[in-house]
Amino acid sequence: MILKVDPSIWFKVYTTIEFFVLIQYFYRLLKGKYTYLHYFFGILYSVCFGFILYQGKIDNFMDGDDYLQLIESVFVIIAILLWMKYAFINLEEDSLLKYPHFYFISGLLFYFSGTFFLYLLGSVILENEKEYFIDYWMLNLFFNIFFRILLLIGIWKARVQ
Amino acid sequence: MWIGTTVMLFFAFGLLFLVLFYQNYFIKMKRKEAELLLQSSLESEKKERIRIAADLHDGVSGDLNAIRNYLSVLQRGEKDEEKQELFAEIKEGIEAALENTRQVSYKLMPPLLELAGFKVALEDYFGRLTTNSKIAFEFVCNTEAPDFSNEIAYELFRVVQELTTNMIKYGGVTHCLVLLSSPEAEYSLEIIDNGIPFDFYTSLKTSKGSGLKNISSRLKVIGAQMKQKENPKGNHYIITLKR
Repeated sequence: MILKVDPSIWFKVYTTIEFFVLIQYFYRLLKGKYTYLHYFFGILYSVCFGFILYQGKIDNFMDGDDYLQLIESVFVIIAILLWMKYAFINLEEDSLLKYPHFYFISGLLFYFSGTFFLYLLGSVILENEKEYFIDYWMLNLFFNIFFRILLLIGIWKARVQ
Repeated sequence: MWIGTTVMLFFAFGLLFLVLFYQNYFIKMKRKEAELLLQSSLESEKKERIRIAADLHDGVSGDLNAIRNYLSVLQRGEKDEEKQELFAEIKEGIEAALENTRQVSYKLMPPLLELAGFKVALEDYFGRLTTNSKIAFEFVCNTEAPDFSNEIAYELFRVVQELTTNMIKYGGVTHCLVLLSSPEAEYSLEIIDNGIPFDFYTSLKTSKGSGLKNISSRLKVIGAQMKQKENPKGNHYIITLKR
């Protein structure tokens, strides 16, 4: 039953879970500050997802994913900029390279920056240049792998500490 | 899309590079500031010690000497035996106070260090320690008199002083060999005792007092390294300093 569900639906579910996990992560990382930002993006995402459901686009690949990914990418980039502002103001005497969070943040930054335009223009590429879509999708694959490697390094650093 | 992705990646790289670069620069500045602060603090301490030692020697010692002389005059003129005994006791107290003042002044700033050099100052210091404590200090110098600058001689002397003070207070030491040599292109000062084994670097991390930290700071300022060799029968420190 579960395996018969369209992958497009799983992709949207994955994106939604990912987004709310990221909201929780940045909420803890920023020590509970900028709550309004988290609420704003959370509500915006929920409204957008609800709209996609209403439009019946839940099982169309890249249809609606661009909006969801755009909201997620903008939220992540803003949260990272706020974290960097915090890092600048409270400069520690230890190198940032020793902190696991630096690797998580770097991975997120590269992934969402690298795939920002891919998701933004994904549906357009699928409509007009379907045969080249898989070449563009390799970008997502590459940044995903790079992101996971940085996550692994961050987790390894956390374990070593 | 490729242009957009390139711009976004450029932005991401730039941001991370900026944060890392600025933080590294900040860490370097903080370290330099800490080093300068340390040097300035040790220099101030040295000046204060010289001033206090001079005040003690010229001021307090001088006054005590004058009092002792007056007492001698009074004692000579007194015929009452009871009062003579009293004067003798007071004189003894003043002699003890004078000796203590001399010891304090010497410990603050040994005059031989600047007048006769590091080797002679150490010889004199260990001679006094052997006399005043129950520990046999043996000083062996396998090199001609080292040509340390005043700053290096002073800081190294203080390190030896701190280590030997700890030895006497807490080490349960009965014999200590201090060996000064100059193998290859460096000077080596080895301190070997037969007291309670003591891990210097482990204690440095956990210590709340300033003694061990002062030793570490002084060695850092003069560019010396200190290693501790394993010695089941006591302690063995080796301080090396490049020529």
